Amino acid sequence: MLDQTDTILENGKPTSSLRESIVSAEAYLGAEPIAAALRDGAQIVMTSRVADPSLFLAPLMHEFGWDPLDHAHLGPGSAVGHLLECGAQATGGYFADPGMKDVPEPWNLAFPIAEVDENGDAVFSKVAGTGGAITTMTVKEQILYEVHDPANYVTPDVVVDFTTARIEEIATDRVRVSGVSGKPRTPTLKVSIGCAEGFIGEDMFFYAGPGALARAQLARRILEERFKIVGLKAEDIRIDFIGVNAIHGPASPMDGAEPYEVAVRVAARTLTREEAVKVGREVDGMAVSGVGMTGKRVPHQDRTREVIGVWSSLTPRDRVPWSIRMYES
Amino acid sequence: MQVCLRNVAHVRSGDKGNTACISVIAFSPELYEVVRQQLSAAQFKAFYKGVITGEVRRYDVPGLAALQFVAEGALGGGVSRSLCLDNYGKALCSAILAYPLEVPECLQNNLRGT
Repeated sequence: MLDQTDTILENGKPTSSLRESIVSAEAYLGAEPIAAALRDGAQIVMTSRVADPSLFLAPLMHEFGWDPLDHAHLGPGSAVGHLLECGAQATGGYFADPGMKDVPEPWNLAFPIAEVDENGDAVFSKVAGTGGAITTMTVKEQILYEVHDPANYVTPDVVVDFTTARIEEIATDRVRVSGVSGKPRTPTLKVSIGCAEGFIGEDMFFYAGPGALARAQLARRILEERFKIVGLKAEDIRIDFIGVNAIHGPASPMDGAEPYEVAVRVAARTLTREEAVKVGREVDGMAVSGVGMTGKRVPHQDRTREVIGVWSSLTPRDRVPWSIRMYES
Repeated sequence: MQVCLRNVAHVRSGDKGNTACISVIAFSPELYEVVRQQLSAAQFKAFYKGVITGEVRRYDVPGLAALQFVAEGALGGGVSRSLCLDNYGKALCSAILAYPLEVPECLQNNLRGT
């Protein structure tokens, strides 16, 4: 891969600049090889990395005899795959928001069923008697999920245009999706490149009751000073208060009522494991040398982990040949 | 009347590398127009106060009554590099639910949770 002229999508540098740190590279194949294996009589298909919707598109291509370049059918077929690929995310999973978006029996969800016609239009439903819901709202959330430009959702098989879709609730828990369009597939495949990029050290400790937030703030100051004293060499450091700003960071409103409990979470990304270990070591000190009334877990596991950073690139299709091997048992 | 986005639309986050993808789906076509006029890409980015370090693009999908916000540099370098507790940014979309909107009284029946 790295001998090619490809560039890294995120920063425009040549992929060859990753030569020292690369640990993996996978091209995302499409439905074409799977459909070919089905045509040859395969009952189970095992593949290398394949784009998620392709797993569902392939049996549709096989059943309806759609050509790998038939973008008019592969567009809606890939939309069916996109709506099925996350399981219950189309049937009320990952959706409930009490009082705003209620979901019946969210502990008993069903995966979606798609009844697809030869045009690629489909009715989505679920097994009767299960929990969850399939509505225009659940389907819209899943249609747009992780799609950047909804008019140009690039898959290995086709470029899908969701903006022409019609979504109708035709009965309870039955939603019809039609009118999705497709444009010709691109001449390239996406490649994900994994690179060894260092380590993250991470730990947390706790405060509760009156004054919890002030104690957490003093603890953060102590950690910041301690990291200077022990000469922590970090690419990035983050000290958050869980319950206050750990999820939305600077976008969190800081004028709310004081939380009853606050967890201080500290994480640092470093080039070596030796540096990452310093995070947990300084948190250990908080139990005896830190702020009063500090709660602390006994660390039962390694508080460092390796970082495999992921970069993306595009490579011409002909550089990723595929073949099928059939096994019988 | 003054409401927040949570009364007007539902949202979902997705991730690709260091880019967050946040769907804002209005509860009705009329409310879609309200959000479209009052929540630009620039206003979206500003509301996240520095969480989003790169460009924000907005894609309008009137057929689904949805706006798709694609925010670069929102995930701390990407899932595996991020120091954020929510390293996939799956909960990132919920911040925008607090965004204030002015909705005409005649659309009151389209709102949720008011």
